[in-house]
Amino acid sequence: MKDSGDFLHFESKQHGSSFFLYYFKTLVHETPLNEHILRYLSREPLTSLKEVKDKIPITGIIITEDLKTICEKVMTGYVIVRLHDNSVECALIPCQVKKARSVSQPEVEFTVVGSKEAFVESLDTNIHLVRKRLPVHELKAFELTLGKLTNTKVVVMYLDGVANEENVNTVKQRLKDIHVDQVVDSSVIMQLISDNRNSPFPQLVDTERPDRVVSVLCEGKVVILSDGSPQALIGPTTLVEFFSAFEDYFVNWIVASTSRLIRLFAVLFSILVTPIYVATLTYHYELIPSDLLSTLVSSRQRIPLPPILEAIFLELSIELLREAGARLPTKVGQTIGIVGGIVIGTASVEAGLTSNVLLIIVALSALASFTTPVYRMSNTIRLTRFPFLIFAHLWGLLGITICFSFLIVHLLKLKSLGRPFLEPIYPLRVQDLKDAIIRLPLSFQSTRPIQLQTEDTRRFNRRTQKEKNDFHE
Amino acid sequence: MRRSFNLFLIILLLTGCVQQSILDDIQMVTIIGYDLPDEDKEDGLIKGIAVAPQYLADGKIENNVFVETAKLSKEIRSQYNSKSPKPIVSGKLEVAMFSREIAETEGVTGLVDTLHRDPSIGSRVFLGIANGDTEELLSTNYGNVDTGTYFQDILKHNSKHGMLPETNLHSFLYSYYSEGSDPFLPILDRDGDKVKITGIGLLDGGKMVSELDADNLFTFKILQEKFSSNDSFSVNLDQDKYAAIYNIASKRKIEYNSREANKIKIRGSILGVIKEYSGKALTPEALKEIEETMEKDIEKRGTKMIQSFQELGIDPISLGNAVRSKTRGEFDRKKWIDEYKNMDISFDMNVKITESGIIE
Repeated sequence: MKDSGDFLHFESKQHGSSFFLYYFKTLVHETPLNEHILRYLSREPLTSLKEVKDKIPITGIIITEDLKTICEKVMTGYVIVRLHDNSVECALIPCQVKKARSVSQPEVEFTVVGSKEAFVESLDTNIHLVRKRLPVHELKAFELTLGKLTNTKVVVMYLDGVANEENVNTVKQRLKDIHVDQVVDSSVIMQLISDNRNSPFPQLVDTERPDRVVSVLCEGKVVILSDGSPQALIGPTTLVEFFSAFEDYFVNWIVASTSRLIRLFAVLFSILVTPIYVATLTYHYELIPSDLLSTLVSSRQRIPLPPILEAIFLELSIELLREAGARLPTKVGQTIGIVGGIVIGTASVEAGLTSNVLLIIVALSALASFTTPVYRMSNTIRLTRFPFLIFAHLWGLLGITICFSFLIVHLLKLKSLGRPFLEPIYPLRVQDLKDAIIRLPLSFQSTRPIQLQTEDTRRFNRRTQKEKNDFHE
Repeated sequence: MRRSFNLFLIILLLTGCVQQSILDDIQMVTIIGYDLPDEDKEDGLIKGIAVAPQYLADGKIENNVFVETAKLSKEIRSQYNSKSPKPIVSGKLEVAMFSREIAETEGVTGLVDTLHRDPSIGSRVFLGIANGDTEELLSTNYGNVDTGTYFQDILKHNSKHGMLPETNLHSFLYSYYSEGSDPFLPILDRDGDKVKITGIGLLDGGKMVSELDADNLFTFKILQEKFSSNDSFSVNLDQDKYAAIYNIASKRKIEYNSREANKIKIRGSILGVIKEYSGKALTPEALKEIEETMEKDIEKRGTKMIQSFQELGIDPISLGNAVRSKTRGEFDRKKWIDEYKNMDISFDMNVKITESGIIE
């Protein structure tokens, strides 16, 4: 440890007695160190470490001889106090520096109405944000440390008596089974505890909104928070949950249902429209209406590429634009978007590489893929388009059907923490449809989702909720 | 793992069996016409005229006309291919025309069969009979449209709103194979740079035996039980007094009783609107007069029409189907036609005028 430049160790001699201090100056908060520790230590001569523990007004002081604990603690910002140079026994005084970003607005899941707080990198702050919204003692936070090198603190939160114990135990067990050296973000945990790690579909929802976390905790789901990550993981989840924005609960149920339907339509549109274009133009010219035929043929008249290459060329250039925009600094990124979108689009049509009909289709389907509220899911959707394109080229509409059935079979096999991923559509659970493809009014949401197999299935009494107070003026 | 690899292999290898037809690399025939060759070199030869539109990048449409003569209509197609820069496909066929000569001498059965047998040809292809030279009719340029769509539009809107009963491949085959009815096809003719529907050809089996001119289509449609909305009928009341009546809804009812097997009564009724009237005031009496004159006129035309059908032994208004629906046991077409020829068929018309315009 002495190799590190920020490791300090010195001997202090006062009143005839001496003590030794060891700590990392980059991990220790200087104000409490000076104000509490050094002040009390230097006031009177010290005789034993027990005295140190009693005198210093800091909680959590440990006296130990175990070298392993000493090493671990000093790395997390503890100060070691020794009375004699050759004794092993030390007092460990917690004095961590807590540097963290303050709570700010959600950027990924921004909503116009509703809370403007988002999770930050500090685990304690995140737990605080959840606890202050859910002040009940049933809210449990099970803590464990993951990562051989990073020693990341991970907390599993659930409502005792509501969340199914099996779900909670599954999460705990899978977390305990993680043996990797680094857990830098909750997304790593998500990949490690997913039911099917080879699926492009995310099997846990991640959110940066404490209010969403509270809402799913009340439903009986399990939430995983990880230190250093502003994203909480939610499970078990279903496919439709990825297409429901949290804002759906803030607006009227009719508006919410409409926007959910639009989003689902957008997903299908985004996946299928370019493949259908390729399939019809390559195999099924009979399907094109006569009125559209002249537009389509004359727009493709000068194009030397077959539809599949044309489509892949455009899809790839859209992906390039997106990737370049995501990697570049914000200001340059915007320019790239405009330059790429307008210049490349028009230029490729004028150069006769793509037809303008396809340009519209590809741009629309790219736009449609961005309506998905969960970022991870929208990535998956854009990726799914490519196998569909290839199948459409090889087999036409039959290929699209084959690819679609592969997709459905895959989704049917998927599980989220052991619960079916495609629920409530399959297995069909009519009751859970109240908050799936459409969102019914809040008074209909009196029971918790069957999928979660919660211990307490009732959220509130629907009858008492519905009663209206007659004492309106 | 092995199974999914096999599946992958099957999918990959079988792709070689699929035949592509990329939209801009094919010639889509939209209208096809059949005629007899000009000088009769050999018997059984057919001249086929196919028109395929070529869409140019600037929005213009050029119609490529292919004319070939061969024994079989599919043989003609392979001859087209030897002339065309792109493979010829028939999936976008809209209209098939037969010349009057073919319809009267050889019959259209064999030619319709090839259309019917080709899975890429839809059953909503319109059929028609070309009056005059088929090649000339099809190779004329009718403006910046592809000829097939132009013909299809004419036939489509006229059978949807106008005077024409529906005559696509499906309805043709239905009445052709049905025991109690005979098919009919519209007759088209060139009128300068336009195409005109001049009447209906009545077929016995596959051969055209008679025709109806455009004036009689209103009556024919009522007998056919087809509703139309833009169809007008003019009534001559006196020397210079006439009224035009638009049909809103028409109904046909066939009264047949197996105990009186020799009698059929057709009751037609029309709800009409007066669109034009040359007399002075439309009094209730005048309305009544119009109604009665119209009833009599239609009845006269209808009865005459039915009589000529009976003489020819054809049944385009599918009375046979109506009789069959009320006959127990086997229905014998031959026996029915014999009976039909001597049947006592009466036609009774009822016209009701519901509106006479907004002028009072």
